[in-house]
Amino acid sequence: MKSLHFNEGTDPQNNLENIFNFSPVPLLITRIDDGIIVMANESVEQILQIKKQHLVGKPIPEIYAFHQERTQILEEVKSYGKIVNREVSIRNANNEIISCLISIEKITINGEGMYLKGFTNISERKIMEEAIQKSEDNLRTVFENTEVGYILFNQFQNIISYNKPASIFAIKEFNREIHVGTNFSTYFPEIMRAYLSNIIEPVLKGETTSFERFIIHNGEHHWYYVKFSPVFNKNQLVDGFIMSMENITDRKKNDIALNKSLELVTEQNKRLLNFSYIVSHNLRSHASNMISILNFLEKEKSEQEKANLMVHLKKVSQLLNETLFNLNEVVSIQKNLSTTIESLNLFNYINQTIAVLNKEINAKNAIVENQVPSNIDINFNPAYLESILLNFLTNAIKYSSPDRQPLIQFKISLNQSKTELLIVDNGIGIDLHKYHDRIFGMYKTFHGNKDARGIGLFISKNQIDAMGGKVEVFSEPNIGSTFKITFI
Amino acid sequence: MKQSDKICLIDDDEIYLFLMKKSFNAMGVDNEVLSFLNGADALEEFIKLKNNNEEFPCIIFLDINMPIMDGWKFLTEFRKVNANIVNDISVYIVSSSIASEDIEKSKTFPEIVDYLTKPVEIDTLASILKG
Repeated sequence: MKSLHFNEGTDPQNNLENIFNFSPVPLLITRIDDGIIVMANESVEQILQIKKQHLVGKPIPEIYAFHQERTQILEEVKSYGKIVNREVSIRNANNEIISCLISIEKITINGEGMYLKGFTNISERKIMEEAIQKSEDNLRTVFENTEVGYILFNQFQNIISYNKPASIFAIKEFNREIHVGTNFSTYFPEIMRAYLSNIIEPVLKGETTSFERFIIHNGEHHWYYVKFSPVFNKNQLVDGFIMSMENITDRKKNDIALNKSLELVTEQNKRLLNFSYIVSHNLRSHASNMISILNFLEKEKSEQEKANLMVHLKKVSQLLNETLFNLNEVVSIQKNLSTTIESLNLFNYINQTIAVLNKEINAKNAIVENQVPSNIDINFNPAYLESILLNFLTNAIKYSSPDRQPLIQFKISLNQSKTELLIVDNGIGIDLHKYHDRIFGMYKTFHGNKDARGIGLFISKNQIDAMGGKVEVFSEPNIGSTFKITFI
Repeated sequence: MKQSDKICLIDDDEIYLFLMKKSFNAMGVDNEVLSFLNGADALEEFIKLKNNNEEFPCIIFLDINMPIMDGWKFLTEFRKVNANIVNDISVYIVSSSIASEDIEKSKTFPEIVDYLTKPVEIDTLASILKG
């Protein structure tokens, strides 16, 4: 076996040998002809986990972990005479795979062709890289699979990156795809830009802002929770911002449904209170009158007085019956429940009401004018509309002034697409200063007092409320009253 | 203003008014009885009495729920007419209401002596009129 000798002493070759041996870079020299290792330094021992004496003078062991890499490297070396810092996996004597950069250079020593092979162990760096990649992959997975859309903008409000939900959001709501590099404002209509820059400005100063917004899409409300958070660089300066958008439509729908049912419950509670009010005030007053009358009847000896008491008793029982009827009316007004709503012609319904009250109108020699155009339809419950019109017209006739010929007019005013029906009379009027808060309220006027407007207006108001409408009154004593019913 | 023996009824229930007067008759009470269908009518009359330097009633049986002016409002307004109402006049609330908030509210008016629920027993009336 032909071995290589570096001469000892001070000759430059000796120095080179020292450098070779103590180099921190693992180095091997192999003979091209037979692949025998002619030199190996101490650093090689570490990387290959083989002692130097087991390497030198022996053929190079199989160090490549993957056959394909080996073939490729050898071919390249053959063709180009060298490779530099090629990443390769080395299998050491402990069967561990180590990531290395390998450099091979063809050299000639003593006239013989050799390969000088150097290794750089990059396995640690590699492990770190892999860990980073993995954590990046994880983050990316989270980023892409979250329900929340994220878009990252730089300080010039240009898009740097975004996730899938954000792109779905843009396509769905703006009918546009998101593109990296495009400006934030270009996704919104011109008129919104000033508004948007008001939102972004504080974010670029380091503030976080968030709000709920809806976008109307095919008539549906799509609710989003939108948040802008600034992104700071190392120097605590704002480098850009993250816009996040979360679809909260379902939550919002639930909220709205919850509010509706709360309203319904509140409304029902109110009716229950009214119910207990009637029971407490109206039913009890009749009952107590009956008890008193009966007490007197029991002791009364005069037949004439007995007959007189019987008349009162009969009256009380009639009023009690009326109260029960009214009570039933109040209780049966149901908000949004099983009340049918139909398109009703207002003009026709008013004419019907006038016909029903013909006798009363003639008795007072009243003029009733239906000035409502014949083409106005409203969505309402038919029974309620009949009852409401009948009630308002009855009141207008009943409370007409004896000093002048009664004039009652039905008029329409169209206000913001809502229909308003005005019932105008020239009757005795109502002193609203005294009376305003109770005019549609319920107090005990069911028992035939002169001023018995109470329950009728109370029921009418409840029916109008139940249909989502509104009723108001304007009046001056001795001039007249106007009732305004707003239909939706 | 002289102390009187007039009795005043303020209630919008005419049958009740009839029955109260009948009770007074049955008891042999012959005091003058004033009756009004709501607080506003009563107040109007009381202002007249004051202007004419006539006597106020010594007892008022007052209903709470009446149209135009209810019992509470009447008391508030009446104080403005006669600041000394607490000493001069005994006010009894007579109501069909058994609602606790009405009973509680009546306790906040110093001029109210008692809260009676309808129907008022003859015995109760007798002890009030005797007192």
